[in-house]
Amino acid sequence: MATKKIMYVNRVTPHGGITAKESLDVVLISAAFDQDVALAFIDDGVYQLLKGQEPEKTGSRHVAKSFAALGDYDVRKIYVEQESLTERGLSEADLVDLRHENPEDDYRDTASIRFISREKLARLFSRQDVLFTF
Amino acid sequence: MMTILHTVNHSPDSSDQLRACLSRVLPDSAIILYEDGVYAALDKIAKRPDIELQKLDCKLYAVREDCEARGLQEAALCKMVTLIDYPEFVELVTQYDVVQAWS
Repeated sequence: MATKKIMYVNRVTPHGGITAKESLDVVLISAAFDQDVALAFIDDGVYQLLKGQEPEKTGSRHVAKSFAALGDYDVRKIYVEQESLTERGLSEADLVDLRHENPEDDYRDTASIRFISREKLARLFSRQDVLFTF
Repeated sequence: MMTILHTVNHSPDSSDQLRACLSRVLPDSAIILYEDGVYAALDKIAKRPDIELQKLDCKLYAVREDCEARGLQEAALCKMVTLIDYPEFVELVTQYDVVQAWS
């Protein structure tokens, strides 16, 4: 099967419905099929990566915790749109620190999240084979 | 005149619930932010020109569990907001004549 560049664009809150959970499920499935998977978090989607979430308090699923497993599924490209963060008064330090072992750098422990401007991310969208927006 | 308790449960960027509510809220009423509604309590969002919670002259509440579930720290919230739990939410429902649950 040919490898495609697939980007999952997440723009919803983590606990408002089941969309965030469904997105993560599809990401893990496509990663298992050896596709070139990237994730982007824009608009309200940046809330999915907030540190210190305690969803057990309201009985919902811990999406941010599941993101920690992405590195093990070879999902190493996670883009966060800088403007979406700043518009919400958030900064890089407010987000979970997702990491992976980088095969191109002697499996060195490497940060997975890349902060990117709206303009650059828009251009990155245009370089994908498939875009899925949740 | 009847007193109104407004409830909002969507984030201000995913729905126009909050703006619909804010444009009609009267001084003797109150607003409860719950579920995804609590994101509006983040200070930076609360002060946005399309929201301006600091200009409200009514009571403003947010549900503590929903803030904690979403990782919103108390220090990051707008000073106008009083945190409540769900039993207090129910208590407030009984104190107002009508509930306007924005959807």
